[in-house]
Amino acid sequence: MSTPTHVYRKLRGGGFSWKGHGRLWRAEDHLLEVTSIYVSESYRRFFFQDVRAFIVQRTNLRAIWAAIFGGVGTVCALIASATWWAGISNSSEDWHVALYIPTALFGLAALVFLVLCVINLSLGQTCRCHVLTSTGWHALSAPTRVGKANHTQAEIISIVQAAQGPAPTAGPPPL
Amino acid sequence: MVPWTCPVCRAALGPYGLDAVQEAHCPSCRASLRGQVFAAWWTPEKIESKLDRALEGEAVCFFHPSNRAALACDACGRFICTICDLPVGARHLCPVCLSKGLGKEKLPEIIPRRFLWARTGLAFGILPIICLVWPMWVISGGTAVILAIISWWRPVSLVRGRQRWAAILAIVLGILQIAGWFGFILLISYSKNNSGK
Ligand SMILES: [Zn+2]
Ligand SMILES: [Zn+2]
Ligand SMILES: [Zn+2]
Repeated sequence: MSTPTHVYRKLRGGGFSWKGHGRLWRAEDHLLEVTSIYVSESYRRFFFQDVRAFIVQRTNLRAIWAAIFGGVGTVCALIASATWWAGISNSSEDWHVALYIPTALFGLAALVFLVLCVINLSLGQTCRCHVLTSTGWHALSAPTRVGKANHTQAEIISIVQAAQGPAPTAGPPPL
Repeated sequence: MVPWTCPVCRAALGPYGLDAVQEAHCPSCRASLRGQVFAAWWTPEKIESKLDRALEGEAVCFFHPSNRAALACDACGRFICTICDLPVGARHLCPVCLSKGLGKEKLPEIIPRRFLWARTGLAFGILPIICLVWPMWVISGGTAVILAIISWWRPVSLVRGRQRWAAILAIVLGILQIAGWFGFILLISYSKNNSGK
């Protein structure tokens, strides 16, 4: 039988979760969500004909990660300065050099957490995208930052409206 | 019409202004939401329960000769009725073609997962070298080579295609590991012989 192979184009923005690294790709008639754990990929498809709604939910994960990275980084920096100070104040002893080993290790860890904290903050606000289909709501694994999600949302709105035609009424759904 | 619910807490939402740009809050879980509702939300489900009996001279379903053909299978072209119509993504298949496709993973629209052989081989090629676990190299190197060779014929990532470079790199690193392992063994036996003298 004939097997059509789709040409996929990558959409902007990825996302990490316990399921792996997420990424959205688009084909002619559907959106493909790829969740990768490096050695394997799992797929979910959302056909443009079937997409009923697309929602971006703003989350506060950025603040939570900033607190975690900042907190752990600060603790590491405090330990590093304490051991460094202890080393300086015992400089007459032979063993004081050994105190600089934890200074170097915790100093390096503090630097790593500082970099992670800065990267997290620079990526912008966090969010979660949801797609409504005939089978209900599906939370997407990507994009997870508002800036990238805005691009994805604009692209999905234009493709889905082109596939389905304009909604019968403007504004919120009637209840 | 399907009820309109919050994607986060699934509570029924009141008529509040869902907008693509302006955020609104779910009255139940306070989630900040914005978005777009599409035409498909208003169109009721297509429930085609009525079966059309074929009239004299009309095209009939291949599987149900008394039913009128509704459409043709997109894979084999056989006429099928509304019972036999199995939509797979944007295509319509007959039951025979769908089961053929399910059996050998031929339909790209229904593949749920792919194991990436070449990438796994590459992991077996790189990680043991980085971790310097040389006693394992003969096993991990052999695994990398075998996985890379298998990957040559196995299905690949739907989006990235066949990554031959990963398989070739895995074979090279695998052979390096095996060679390195024999090198260490020779070195050890040589130094033992020398110290025994
Ligand atoms: Zn809610
Ligand atoms: Zn068929
Ligand atoms: Zn039939």
